[in-house]
Amino acid sequence: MNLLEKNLSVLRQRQPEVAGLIAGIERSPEVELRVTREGLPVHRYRGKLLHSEWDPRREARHSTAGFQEAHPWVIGFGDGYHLEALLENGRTEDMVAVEPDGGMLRAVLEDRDLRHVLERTRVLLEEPPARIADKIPEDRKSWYIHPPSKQIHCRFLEALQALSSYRPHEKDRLRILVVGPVYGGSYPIACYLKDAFEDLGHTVSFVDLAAFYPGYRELQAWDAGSDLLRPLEQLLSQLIERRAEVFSPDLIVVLAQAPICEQSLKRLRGEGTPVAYWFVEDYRRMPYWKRLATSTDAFFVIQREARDAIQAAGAPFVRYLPLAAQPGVHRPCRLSPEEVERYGSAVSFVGAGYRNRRNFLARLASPQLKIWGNEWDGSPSVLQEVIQEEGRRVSTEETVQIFNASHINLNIHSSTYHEGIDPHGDFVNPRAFEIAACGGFQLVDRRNLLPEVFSEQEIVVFDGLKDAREKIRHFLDREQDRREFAEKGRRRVLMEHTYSLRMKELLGTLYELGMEGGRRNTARGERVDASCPPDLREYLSSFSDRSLPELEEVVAMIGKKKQLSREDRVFLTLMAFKEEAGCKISSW
Amino acid sequence: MSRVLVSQLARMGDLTQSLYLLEDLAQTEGQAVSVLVDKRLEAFVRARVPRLDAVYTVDLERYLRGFRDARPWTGLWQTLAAELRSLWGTDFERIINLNYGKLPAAVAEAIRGRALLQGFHASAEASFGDPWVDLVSRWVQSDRRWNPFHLVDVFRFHSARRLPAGRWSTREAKPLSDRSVLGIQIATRCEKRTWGPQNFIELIRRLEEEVGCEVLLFGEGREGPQAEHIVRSVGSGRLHNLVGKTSLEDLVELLVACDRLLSGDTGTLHLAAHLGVPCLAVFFGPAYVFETGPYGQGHIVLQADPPCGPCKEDAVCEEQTCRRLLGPETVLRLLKGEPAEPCLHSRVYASGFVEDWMWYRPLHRWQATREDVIGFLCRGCAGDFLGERRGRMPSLPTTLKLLLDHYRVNRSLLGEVGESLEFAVPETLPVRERERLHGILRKGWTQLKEMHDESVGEEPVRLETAAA
Repeated sequence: MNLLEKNLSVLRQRQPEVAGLIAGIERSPEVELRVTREGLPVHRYRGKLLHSEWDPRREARHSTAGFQEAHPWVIGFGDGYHLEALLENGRTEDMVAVEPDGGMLRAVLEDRDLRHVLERTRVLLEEPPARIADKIPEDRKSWYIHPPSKQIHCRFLEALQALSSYRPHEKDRLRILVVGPVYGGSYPIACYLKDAFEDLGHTVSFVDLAAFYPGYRELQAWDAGSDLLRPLEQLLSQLIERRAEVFSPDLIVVLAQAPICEQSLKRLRGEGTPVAYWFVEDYRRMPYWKRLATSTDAFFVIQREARDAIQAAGAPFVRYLPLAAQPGVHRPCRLSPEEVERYGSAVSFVGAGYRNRRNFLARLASPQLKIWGNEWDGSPSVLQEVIQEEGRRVSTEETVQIFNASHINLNIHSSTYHEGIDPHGDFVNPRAFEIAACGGFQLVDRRNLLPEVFSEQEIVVFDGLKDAREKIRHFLDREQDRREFAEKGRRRVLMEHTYSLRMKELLGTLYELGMEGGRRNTARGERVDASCPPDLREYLSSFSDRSLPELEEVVAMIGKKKQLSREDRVFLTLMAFKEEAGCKISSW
Repeated sequence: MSRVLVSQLARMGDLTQSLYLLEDLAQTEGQAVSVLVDKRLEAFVRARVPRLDAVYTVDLERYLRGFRDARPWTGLWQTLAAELRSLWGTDFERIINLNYGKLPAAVAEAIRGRALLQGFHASAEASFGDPWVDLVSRWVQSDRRWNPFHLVDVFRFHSARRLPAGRWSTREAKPLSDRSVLGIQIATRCEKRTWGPQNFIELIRRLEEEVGCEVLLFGEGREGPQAEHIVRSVGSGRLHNLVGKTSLEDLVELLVACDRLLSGDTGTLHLAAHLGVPCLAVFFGPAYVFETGPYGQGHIVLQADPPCGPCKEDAVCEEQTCRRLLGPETVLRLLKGEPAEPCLHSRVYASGFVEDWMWYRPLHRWQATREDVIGFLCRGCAGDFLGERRGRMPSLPTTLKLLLDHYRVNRSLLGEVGESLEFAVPETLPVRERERLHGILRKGWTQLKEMHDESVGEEPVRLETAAA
C-alpha cells in the first residue's frame, strides 16, 4: 500500500466524500517535492516553499507555540507539519483543516504519511470561501493561518476573512446609496450591485444617471477645449449629494466613472456616512483615482498592484476586489433556431474595437469568426467581413445569447499600449466571469490574476497568436472537452464570483474597518421588540430581529413577493398614505 | 343577497356625486350596498342614503397628518390594520372603487379578498380600471372635450339598472325676486376655478339694487377673510355671512331653504343639485360642465370656452382670461330669468336627461367645433365599443340628433372631423382596440354625415324650434 492509500484509508473512515474527492483529483503539476537533510518531504508550490527546507518540524513548533485554542481551524494544509505541531502541543483536542487546492493536497498525501494527523483532523477540501465562512467560528482567535498558505491562497483567504466578517451582520438592514456612472462599462456593474445589495436584504437607492447620457454626449461632442462637461459633472455631483441627503444612507458605494467630485465625496464623508469606491478600471490607464481615493473610506480595485500605489498616494484603505458576474443575467439560455443562426458561430468575439484587438483578430479572421460590438470603424478590410450587423452596440441580453450560441468565445483584454495581447496584463475583465456564468466556453488571454479566480480546469488560457490558433483548432473539434470546461467554469462563478458575494466581501471589509451595522436605525433607538404591537412584531420577526425597519424597506421586501398577504396589503396602503402626505422618501 | 361595497374616499363633492350610484344599487338591484368613506363623512352619508347595509370608514386625515407630523409608522399601521380588518370579515361579491389614484387603489386591493374589483385599479400603466372606466379615463387624459360623460354617470354605470331620471327632479328655477333666497358658495378648492370676491361684490350690489333678495354666503372657515371682505364692501342687511359657521347638516338645511345656488365647481354645488335646489354654476379654468356640472334637470351652467380650456388644475396660468369671460352682468341676467347673450368664448347650458344620461343643452344654437362633434360621436359610440346591450347607454342616432338639433353643423366641419377622427382615439389604447374604436367612430361619423345631408332641408324648421 503506497502512502496515498494509507492516508486515504484513514480518511475514508472519517470523511469518505473527501477521500473520494482526493482519489479523483490529479496531483498538481505545480507542486515540486523537496527533501530535507533529515529525509523529510517538503513541497514547493508555485515556487513557494510550504515549510522550512532546513527543519520543518522545528519551524512548525515555533510558529504554533503561542496558539492556545482547543479546537483550531487551520487555513492551509501545507505539508501538515504545523498540524502535527498543533496536535502535539497538548491543548488541541481536534481540529479542522481548510485546503482550497485538492491537487496540492493529493501531492502531499502521496509523499507523506499523515494518518496520525488525519485521524484527528476534519479536512474541508476545495470548498468555496462563502461556504467556509458559514461554518468557521467568528472568533479569529481559533483561526490558525498557515503562513505560506496565506500567500499561496491569498484570494481565498481575503474572501474568507471578509465574508466571515459579514456573517454576524447578515441580518443588518443597511440603507445603501449606489452611485453609478452616466454611461460606460461600469454602468451595468452599478445595476448589478444594486440588485446584489437588494438580494442581500438591504435597502438600496440607486442614483441612476443614464438619463443624462444623451445630454452628456451632446456636450462631449462640443467639449474640445471648452470644458463644457465640467459644469454638468458638478451638477450631477450636487444631485448625488442631494440624493444622499434625502435618502440618509448608512453607506455610499460609488462606481468608477461616476460623476462625483472630490469635494462632494469629502462632504458626504463629513456627514459621517462611509464611502466605498469600486474602481473597476485599469489604474495605470485611468489615473483619475488620484483625486478621489483619498476622500473615501475604502477604495476597492481590480488589480493587486494598485493597492500600494494608491495607498502611497494617501488613500486610507485600498483592497483588491475582482470583478464578477450576475447569475440572474448571465446564465445559460435556450435559443431558437433563428437565434442560433443569428448569434451563433464557431468562434466569436464580443467587445469594443481596441487597437490590440483589431491587430490580433485580423490575424485570426476566418469565415468561422464573428465579431460583435461597436467602435470597429476603420478596421482592416479582413475584419470588415466578420464584424456583425455593421458594428452596432449589442445589448446585455444579446451578449448572453452570443456567449451561449458560440462554440468558442474569445476573450481578449483590451490594451492601448500593445499591438496584440498584453503579456503583463493583470486584472480579469468582467467578460471572463460573464462567459463562464453563461456556461460558455472561452479562450482568454493570459492574465496574472486569472489563476486566483479560475483554475486551469475551468478556463483555457492562450499566450499569443500561435497558441490561440492552435487552441481554437484543438477545441473546435472537441465538444465534450468544451462542455466540461464550461460546466466547471460556471460552477466556480456561482460558488465564488457573483456580485452578491463580492458585495458581501465589500461590506465585510467595511465592518472590519469599523462600519456600524444599521447605524441609522439602531441610533434612533427603535427596536422591533420594544415598540411594536404583537401582531406587527410577529410580522416583522421574519424581517429583522434587530432594529425597526423603515416603512420603505418593508415595502421593498413586499415588492419581491409573488403572493401578498392581507398584512402586506396594509403596508402597501400605509405607504400610499405616506406618499399622499408627501413624506415618502422621494428617491425611492 | 349579494353584497357590494362602494369605495369613495374623496371629499364631500365626489361623495355627493356617488350618492346616485348608491341609490341605484340599493333600489334597482336590491343588493346589500355598503360604502367605504372618509371618517369625517360617515354621518353625512348615513343621513343621505338611509338604505345602506353598512358604512365603513377610513380616517384619512389621521394617517396623512401622522406622516406629516413624523409619527412612528407602527402605530399608524396598527390603526389602519384595525380599520381594514373590520372589512375583511364581510364577503363582498364586488368592490367598486370610484377614485383614481394610488391610495384608493391600495385600499381597494387591501380589502378586496376574493371580490371582483370594478372601477379604478391600482396601476394606470396597463389600464385605469374596468373597460368603462378605462375608456373614459383615456378620453379625459387625451382631450377632456372628447369625454361626454358626466362623472355621476361614470359612477352610475356600475349599476346594471338606474333609477328613472324623474327621481332626480329639481325645483323650478323661478326668477329671483325680493322674496327669494340666493345661496352663494364664494370659493372653490382650486383658485383657478374660483370666481373671485370682486365679481361677487359687484353681483350682490346689483342684486341689492335690482332684486332685493336675501343672500347667504357659504364656504369653509379658511375662506372667512374673503367673506368678510365681501360683506364689508357690500354692507347690506340682506347679506348673511355663514362662511365657516355651518356644519354639513346645517349646510343641507340651509341649501334646502335656498331658491337658487350660485357656485363654481364645488361640493356645495353638487350637494345642492342632489337636494333638488336649482343651481347656476359658473365654470371656467379646469371646471368643465360635461364632466362635473350640476347633476339633474333644470340647472344652468355658464361655461367659459377659451381656446386653452378646459385646462388642468395644476397647469400654471398667469392670464386667467377665462375668468374674465364670465362677468357679473351675465350672471345677474340669468338669475333674473332674463335672456343672456354670452360673450365670445363663453357658453350657457341647461342641464337635462336624455335617455336617462346627463346632457347639457346649449341655450343658443352656436356653431359646433370639431371637439363638440367628436364628443358627440364618442357619446354615441361608447356603448358599441364596450359591447353594451341596447338601451343601457346613449344611442348613436339620438345623440347625433341632439347635435344636429342644438348646434350649427356644416359639411366642411364634418369633413374636418372625418380627417381628424383618428386623433379622437386615445393613443394609449392597445393597437387592436385603437383600430376597433376608430372603425366604430368612423361608422358613427358616416351616419352623422347621412343624417346631416337628410336634415339640410329641415334647417328653417329647426331654427324655429330652437327660437321657440
